[in-house]
Amino acid sequence: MYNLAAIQNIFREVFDDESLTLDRNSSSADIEGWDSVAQVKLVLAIEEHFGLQLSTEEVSSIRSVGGFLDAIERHTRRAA
Amino acid sequence: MAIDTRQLVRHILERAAPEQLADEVIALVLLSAGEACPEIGDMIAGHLSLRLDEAVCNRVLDRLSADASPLGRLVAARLHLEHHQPEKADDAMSAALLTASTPAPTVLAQRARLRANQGRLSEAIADLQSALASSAPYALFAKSEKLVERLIASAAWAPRRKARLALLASSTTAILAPVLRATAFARGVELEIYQGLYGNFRQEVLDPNSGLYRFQPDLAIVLVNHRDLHLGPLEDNHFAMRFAEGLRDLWALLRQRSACHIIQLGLDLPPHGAWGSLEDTLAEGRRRAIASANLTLSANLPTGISFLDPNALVAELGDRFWSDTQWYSAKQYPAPSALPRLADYLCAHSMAALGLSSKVLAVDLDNTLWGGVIGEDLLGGIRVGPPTPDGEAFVALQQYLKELQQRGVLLAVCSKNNRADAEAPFRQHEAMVLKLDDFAAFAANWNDKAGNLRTIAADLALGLDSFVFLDDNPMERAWVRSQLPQVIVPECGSKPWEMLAALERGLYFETICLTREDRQRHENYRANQARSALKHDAASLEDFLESLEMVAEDGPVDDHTLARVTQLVNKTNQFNLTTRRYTEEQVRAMALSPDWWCRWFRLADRFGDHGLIGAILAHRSSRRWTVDTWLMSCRVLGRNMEQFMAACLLQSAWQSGAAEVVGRYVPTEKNGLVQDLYPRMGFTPCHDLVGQYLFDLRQQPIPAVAFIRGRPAGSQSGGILKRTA
Repeated sequence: MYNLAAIQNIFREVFDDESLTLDRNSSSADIEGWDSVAQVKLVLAIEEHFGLQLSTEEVSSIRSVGGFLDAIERHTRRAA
Repeated sequence: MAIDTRQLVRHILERAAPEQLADEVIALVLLSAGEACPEIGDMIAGHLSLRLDEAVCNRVLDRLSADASPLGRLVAARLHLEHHQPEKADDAMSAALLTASTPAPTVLAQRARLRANQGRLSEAIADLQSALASSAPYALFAKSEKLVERLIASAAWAPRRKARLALLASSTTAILAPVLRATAFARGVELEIYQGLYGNFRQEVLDPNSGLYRFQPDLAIVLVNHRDLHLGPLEDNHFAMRFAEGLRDLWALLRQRSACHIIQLGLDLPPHGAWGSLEDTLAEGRRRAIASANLTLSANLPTGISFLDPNALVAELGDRFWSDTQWYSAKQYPAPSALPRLADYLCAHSMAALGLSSKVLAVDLDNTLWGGVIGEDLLGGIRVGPPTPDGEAFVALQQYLKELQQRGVLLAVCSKNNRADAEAPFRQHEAMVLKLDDFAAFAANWNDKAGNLRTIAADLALGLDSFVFLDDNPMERAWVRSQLPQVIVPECGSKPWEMLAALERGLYFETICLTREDRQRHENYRANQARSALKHDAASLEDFLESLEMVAEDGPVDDHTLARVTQLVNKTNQFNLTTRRYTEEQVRAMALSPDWWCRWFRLADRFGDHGLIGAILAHRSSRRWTVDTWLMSCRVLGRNMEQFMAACLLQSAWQSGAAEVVGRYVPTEKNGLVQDLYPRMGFTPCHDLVGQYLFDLRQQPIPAVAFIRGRPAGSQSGGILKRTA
């Protein structure tokens, strides 16, 4: 739940839109401005926030909030 | 084994049962020490607000506010935001920023967003400018770029300068352009940026009808990288030379058709290659070819061109300068994490071309140009030159300043000191590199430094926005920053090598050519300038003192404090009413005697603890107390500490039943600073005795102490003093 809230905050900052409300299914098709440049910004902001590094495969395949959530889950659950 | 703190905190938060979560969070925050990590604050607040109701969150907030740790304040700020209480969030962020030794860019940017959303646009602009001004990570730019756009579009934005900049690159510029725009925004400059088609910049320059020329740039940046050369390991290095000469031809054409200044980024040297060291040693080696292309580019630069060697950034950032994945997936050069620093360099060149580089470096003296305090330690006691390490480093710092001055940067002194004391090292200390003649202005007095900087600027007829101010003291830096936001005040640490590094890192004085005027500027200013007396200016000094959150403590001189009090008695020259010197045994005897009141004083503020900084030794009889010695370290001058000491003295005398307190001022060469101390503290001069002052406890109320909160004598020292045989 926290991961979604944190991602929502990052999206709100990157797109400077406080009204943005996200769920797992929010995708680049729904969110205006989520293009390849925004993708680079989102990825680097999320990596910095969670202290992890996504792989190139993840970066190029993620097109939805759920994709980010799953990637974060994979990276933080590695040790558990 | 290294455990990432964020992962550890996440683990604890996720494992905690709901009824334990509040206690776990409190324990985590109380364990935290030093600078807080904003991401951890965010994570803790996020878990609290998602899993606990608001009443429980508020209980946690109460507990955290009692502790006042930086992390606690960040958690509080985020929770208030979640609970839609922007004013409280603003307060918590401000408190977190005040307690940090260096304000965290992330928190500054958060407060900027909060204030922008509340319509406090000028404050939002100032916050975001500070956040992005130095060493912010790329992620912060990514999150702030849209807010920068919103603020630039607002009515509150008043740029120093607008300029049009064209990016001509062999790589993508979509990520670089907004970073560059945000970096210029942080320096008060609004850049409109033209991005040519990716990899098409030669055509744009060649075609007289291209978008580039329609844009009419003031500045053009040509961004190439070593991959453009397509060099094999043993290439004929004429190929690299021809590449460089081709670029020079493009400059000439562009300059014929446009009045823009061109900033050419040189070629990056990859650290390794398949041919190993042969890449450096063979005549046709690859690294050798790249280096010679850079030499061809940078030699005999025509007017209107500047050259930026990316290998200076490589030296700073190491292999973080490149990201192969970003290159292969997005033709992004250099790595996104290197973009803020690249933008710093490009902005420094742009500012230089626009005539906006800083022109004056104003410096403090004590512990900035030399180690120690000249007024206290005297010529023999200050550290400059061998044998101490910092003495040698102060020489290196002075040498750097001298070199700046030789290429046209003006130097000024802005120091709290007696004029004669301040000049002595320049005149007499043989290790000093800088001499009095090297300064275009010299302000050494007891006025506040913001007022002195204003006067220096007026004397030199230069705007304060061309000033950089260097001071080891964080309080002075914060004061000048608060009074003169247009002056650049680098966070420079307190060691000479840290100050030197901060000056170099800041690129404030970047210059793209050297004119005869540059070399002569210093002489011209000195000739023109009659050093006028600096006027006092105390604009909202009260607010500033209030913001320091000062806490003072006092207690009887005891075994723990005897040595320090004796040291102060014997070395304090300036704030010293009678300048009587005593041995440790003499002070001990006084402290043990029922006829004496011997008191030490400490002061702390939000910047830290100043330690034991003052003492009063008073002889007491049943009716009258006589102040024998009253002294204070000049480190805490201008802080109202003397008022606290006076109130403490008068209160104690009153409580012991005395009717009056008598003090004396004995003038020396050094203590002119305190000649009117007693009248300022409410004492009246005695008619019969020059230099003697009286406070009538039966007639006069004891003055209240402003700005400083008192704390009773530390419980750790019980006032015990052992008699020695």
